[in-house]
Amino acid sequence: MIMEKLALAIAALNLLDKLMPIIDADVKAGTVSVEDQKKVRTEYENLVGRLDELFDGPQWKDE
Amino acid sequence: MKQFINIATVLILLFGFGCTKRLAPGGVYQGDQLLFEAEQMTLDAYKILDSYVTWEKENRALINSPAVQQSASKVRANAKSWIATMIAMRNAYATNPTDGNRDALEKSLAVLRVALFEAAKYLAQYSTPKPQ
Repeated sequence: MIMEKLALAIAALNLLDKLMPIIDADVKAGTVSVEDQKKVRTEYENLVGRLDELFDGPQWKDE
Repeated sequence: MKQFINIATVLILLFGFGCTKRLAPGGVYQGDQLLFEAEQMTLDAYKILDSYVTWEKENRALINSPAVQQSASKVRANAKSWIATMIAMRNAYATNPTDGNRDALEKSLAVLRVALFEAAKYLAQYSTPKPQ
């Protein structure tokens, strides 16, 4: 049981570690360069174009 | 330290996510910070919510929590609609930046923030093993 709890904690920590750079980048003060603005726009347009397929994965099925 | 980081994550999501940034002149957003924030939040919300439902599905047996399962189910049922609404509100604001369209876009941002906060709350909660 302890091992299972640890495995769950490690999984959650790994996920948080993966998400922290995203959150850090969002809250970091400073100026967004012209290049970074273009990058965000390109990624955004890509997401909009793939909206349906982005929610097709098994993780999005409740079952 | 990890525990501190986890609590900080939740607080950042609650109070700081989407803080206004300065945009360098000459960019594609033409200085419109709300438009930038909307697009950035849409991208990040998808990444975070996708990670959250993946984590919940892969660890459901270990998590063993109706509250978490219910939260993830809510995300599965609504995330696409939340993001599609955000895109629609962003488009309306970009085409016609009235106060009404600005308010509608800001409300869409708020909906996503609430969902992200809930996901981060459970991740922080489960990243610390509870004593038996």
